[in-house]
Amino acid sequence: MKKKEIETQVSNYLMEHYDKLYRLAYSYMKNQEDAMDVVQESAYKAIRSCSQIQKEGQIATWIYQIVIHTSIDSIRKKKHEVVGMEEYQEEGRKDHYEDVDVMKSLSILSDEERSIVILRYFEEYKLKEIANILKESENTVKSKLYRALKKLKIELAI
Amino acid sequence: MKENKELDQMKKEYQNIEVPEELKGRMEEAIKKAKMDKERERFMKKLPKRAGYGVVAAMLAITILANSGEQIAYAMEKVPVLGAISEIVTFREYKHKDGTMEADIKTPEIKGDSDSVKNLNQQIQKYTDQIKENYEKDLNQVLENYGDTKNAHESVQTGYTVISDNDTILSLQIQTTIAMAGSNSFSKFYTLDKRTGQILALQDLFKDGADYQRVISENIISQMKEQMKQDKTKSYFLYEDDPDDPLNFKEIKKDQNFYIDKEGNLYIAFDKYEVAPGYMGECYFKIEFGVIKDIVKDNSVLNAIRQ
Repeated sequence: MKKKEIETQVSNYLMEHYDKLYRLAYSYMKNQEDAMDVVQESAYKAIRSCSQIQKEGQIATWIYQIVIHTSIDSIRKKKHEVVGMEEYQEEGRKDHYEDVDVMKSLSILSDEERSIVILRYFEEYKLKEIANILKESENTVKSKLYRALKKLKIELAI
Repeated sequence: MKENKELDQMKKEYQNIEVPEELKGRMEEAIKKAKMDKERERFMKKLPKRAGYGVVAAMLAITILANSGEQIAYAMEKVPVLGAISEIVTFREYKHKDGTMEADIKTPEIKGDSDSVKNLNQQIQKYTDQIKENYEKDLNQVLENYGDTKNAHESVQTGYTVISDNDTILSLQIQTTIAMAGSNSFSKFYTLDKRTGQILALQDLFKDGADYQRVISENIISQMKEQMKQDKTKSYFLYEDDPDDPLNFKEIKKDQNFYIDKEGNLYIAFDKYEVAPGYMGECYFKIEFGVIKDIVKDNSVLNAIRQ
């Protein structure tokens, strides 16, 4: 694919599916403002470095990868900020989900387990694609998914 | 996949998570900004600021560094190449304006007849010529595509600053600011060793075989971290969670831009966007002498100025 073509496709993907990216970022950031910041930054990074994409089929997994990395990075930066600022909590940036039951249920999982459940059951990605997004082997993803379901007390065949 | 009530319920709730309306506009904005930044980078890549990439810079590196005889020849002149104070004048100024396309490119010249001065002047002129050429190419492209400059906006400003000028060195910065919708800025630094007439590359300051790239890079990375810790508004391309991130700063280039101040301190210079997001502008890092004292050449200009 030509560079310009990839850029157009990446930008189309971003505009068509930003709601999905937002929800995933929200699961990490736990509030609207931070989740929007992450998705916006991810969009910027995706366009900036999209020449790395080799095949059209990689666009979605590659963008999800960026969103997850950007979320983790942003959480780490926030942790630094909070030191010495316990007294002061910015309005609307509370560190707990605002009335979303599903997020409360998922909150017993680790970040990675939660992403696996979201991508597998809510976004319907294949295990292999999730393995690509998380840069893990398919088997690792599978066993983490089992563990996550066990924690959620959900029994079913994967 | 087997049906599962609980998961179905969770999926429904997940998909009902409200997406703020303003996000769409912010996505458009981010995409537009990224595209513009890429365009500007493309313009910069054409410049010979990085030896080894730009044809002109590569050519110059060969004439100056590989030809070690040249340095000896200057040393044998045994005449100070320049006095303590060098006379620097604007040799020529290229001015152009057509609607919203404009350029103002100043080329400095150091007064003097010695070969080393002529050589430095020649290099500087080639560098600013290249900037002018890039601007003219863009201009012609615009005229070819649209017939006039109404649809384009580009402003190129190149000027120069003398950073230090003493018995040992002349350190000169040639800075260019390009505005096309947003703005970009980059510099080329020249450091002339007046004792030998040699135009110094970063590696000339260090002992042969010294791993100066690693020593300096490690120091810069810790400075970046410290600055980000001290000041939350600062940001550098250091994504620790993703060492493969293509934007990540890993190491300075072998011929990284640098300058030396009056006190003999080494500064490493990065163009806008090179190691940090655009709002950080060009970034300069002072490398304390203690960090590099074991690997600098005994007779380097740093030592000479500091004595």
